[in-house]
Amino acid sequence: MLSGVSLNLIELGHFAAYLAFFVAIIQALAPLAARVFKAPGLRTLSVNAAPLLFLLTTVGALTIVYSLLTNNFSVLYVASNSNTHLPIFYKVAALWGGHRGSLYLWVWIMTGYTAAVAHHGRSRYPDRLPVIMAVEGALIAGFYGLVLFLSNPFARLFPIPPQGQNMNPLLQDPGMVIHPPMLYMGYVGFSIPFSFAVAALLTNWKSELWIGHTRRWALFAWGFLTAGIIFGAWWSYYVLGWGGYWGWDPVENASFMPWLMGTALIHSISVQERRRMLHTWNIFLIITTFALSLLGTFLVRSGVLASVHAFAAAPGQGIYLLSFMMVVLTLAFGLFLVKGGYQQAEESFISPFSRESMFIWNNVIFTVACASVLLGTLYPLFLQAATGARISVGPPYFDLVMVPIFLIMLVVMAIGPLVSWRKANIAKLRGRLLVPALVGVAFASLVVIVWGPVYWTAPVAVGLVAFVATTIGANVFRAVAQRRKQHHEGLARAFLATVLGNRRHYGGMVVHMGILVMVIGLTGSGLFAESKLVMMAPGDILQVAHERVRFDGTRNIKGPDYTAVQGLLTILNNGAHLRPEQRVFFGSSMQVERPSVNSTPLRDVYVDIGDQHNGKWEIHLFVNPLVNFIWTGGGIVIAGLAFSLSDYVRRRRQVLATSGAVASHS
Amino acid sequence: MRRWAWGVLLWAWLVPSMAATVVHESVIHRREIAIAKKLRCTVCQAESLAVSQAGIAHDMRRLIREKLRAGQTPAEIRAYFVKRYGDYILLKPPFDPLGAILWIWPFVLAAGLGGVAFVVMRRRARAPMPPPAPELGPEDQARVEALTRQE
Repeated sequence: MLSGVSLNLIELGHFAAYLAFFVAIIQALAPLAARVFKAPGLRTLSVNAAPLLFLLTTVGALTIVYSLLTNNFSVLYVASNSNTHLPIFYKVAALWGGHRGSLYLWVWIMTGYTAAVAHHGRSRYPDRLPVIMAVEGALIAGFYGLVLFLSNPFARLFPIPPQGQNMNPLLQDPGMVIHPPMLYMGYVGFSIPFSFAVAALLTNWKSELWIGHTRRWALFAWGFLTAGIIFGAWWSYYVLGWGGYWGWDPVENASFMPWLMGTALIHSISVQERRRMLHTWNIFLIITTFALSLLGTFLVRSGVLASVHAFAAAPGQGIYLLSFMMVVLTLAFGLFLVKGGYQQAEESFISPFSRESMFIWNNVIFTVACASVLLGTLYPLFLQAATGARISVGPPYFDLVMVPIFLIMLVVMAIGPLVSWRKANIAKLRGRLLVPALVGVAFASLVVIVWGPVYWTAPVAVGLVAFVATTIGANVFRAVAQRRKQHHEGLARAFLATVLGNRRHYGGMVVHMGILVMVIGLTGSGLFAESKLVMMAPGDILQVAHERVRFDGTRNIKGPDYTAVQGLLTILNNGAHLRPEQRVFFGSSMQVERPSVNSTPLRDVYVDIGDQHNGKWEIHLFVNPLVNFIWTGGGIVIAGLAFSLSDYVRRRRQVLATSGAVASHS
Repeated sequence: MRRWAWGVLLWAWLVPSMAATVVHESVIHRREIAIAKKLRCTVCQAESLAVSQAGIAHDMRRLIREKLRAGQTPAEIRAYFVKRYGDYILLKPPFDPLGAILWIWPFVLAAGLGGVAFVVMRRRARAPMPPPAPELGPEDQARVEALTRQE
């Protein structure tokens, strides 16, 4: 009976999705039609279409989720990604557990953003809103075309199989449930600045009027992209069982490239807000960031690159995505070339050494980093297509090229916030940098003394982190001291007033602090991880670094949709137990290793269990120092970003309060 | 007492020799990982031999270990794998006509972009700006004029 109901429902969702496709087309074309037919009333159509589009897409998404929950195996997508044993949590997450569903999630998020902008823009930028909506509508229609005609999650399957296949076992993990939506919120979020920029180019919209809005959307998207990448690393670490979290895998690079350009963008926009310059460059950055988001989607969703993520391989759709991407980017960059300079800088550089120039160096470095990752990711592909020669570009290359770039970035990070706008006061700057530089040198020396001169990167990274941290600390201290002098306040009160009074700036500084904590974690785990792979019989003891681990044997266990051999190990140093598993999921012959980790702030003991030979088990033991710093640093980054964005809410409240006061006064 | 002395002597003699073999194996292990990290697992999609769990990766690691025990240097072992599988096996592309661009590109780009940024900043810093465009567009100004006329 239930399946009868859901049969109807999935068709309702399918119908809603088709309707949404047409609504998106209307949304894309309405402003153009208004112009051609000289009927300005049509313009509002594209604004009003946005919430409807979101509603229809939501109906479609909910019917897919409902079909997953009710095991409606007449839906091809359900039958191939879910079965009756799958826990409910993963059934919902199966919406993005397969190729078709994840594309639908992409579209759904995009319609959500569009509806939010439509709501946000009605009172703030009503005259340009229809054009922004039209650009978003065109993008959505493009993706809907892919979803409906090439990769339809509503497609049916007859005869109805009695049981579905299992969701990809590697995806059955909480980290993987959160990772794709976060990443998509980031990727898709950059479509909003893109639509603003295209609309501005089309209508000569004065930059000051929209760049501030763009900044907030970009920050929002940047936060989600950051969180998505960190969750992806987390998943890779806790699920894939190779002992690492970042492998310079092409798909990881695909998410990292828009992050790099997005980071350049959120810094560069500040320059335009403060100094009314870099208009053209910012538009270029906005378009490039979204272009890289599209490229990332293409790389992941087309299976063109060999990658551990290639579960989503689907060549036919790759051609569609590639063509769509080419059309969008040709139009966008073409428009940029023709009209990119529609607004020139209104202020000039006064000195090549100033806050704005530091931001430009930041942009140069991020662009170089991004272009290097881009070449390393795509070059093997081009080479093979052009000459047939096969080469590999892997972690040793990226580590060697990217680490120095990141270290230079830290130097700019330390000096940048100290340099004043317009023209740096060199003498003052020298005074302010002296103590932090000494602190940095002290920490670097300490590293060499304690751990020996093994890697040059370790002391340099730690020294730079100490350098940056001291400059940030000293900066806050100076601001608080000044406030205490002026207002005669206590320390705590002055500190709170200073930090809460300029949330945008200090939020940014908290983000920088989070990055520093991450750098410590990346340095420690990247350079000082140790591992051993050995055959162990029960009772054997293995030592890696200073950790002694005893193998106690194995036992068989049964999960909701898998059976597993569980290894029993004890860390002799602290008595903690480790329980790595070798899982076999129903409906899949694939064995999946699930590592077990014992974490303390300073080190992770991480173990995998492999196959058995002659009563001995293959045990892969890792001791990874400071991994927790990476996750903690990531959390600090997101918290800092939220604090920075809260400034916007606060200001809006103030505006509303004053306008309310004015209203009641009059 | 004598027994003790013998024990101590035996201990003093045994432990270093045991430690020596242990150190030796751990050196081999460290070298094996260092080599495996730079070689690609041939059946995997983007994993090194060091992290891959595929059977062939295990075999290739064992081969590395055996060659190390036989006294071969890491460079010899790498050359052996390149001879068998081609440059594809190297995760760090070599600096040869095909791979050179990968190594040159970041430097060229940094120099190019940095140079352009520097020149543009210097030039703009010297040249005075044209007077700023009027804050109001022609439409706005017309509206302002119309309003002032009304008053």
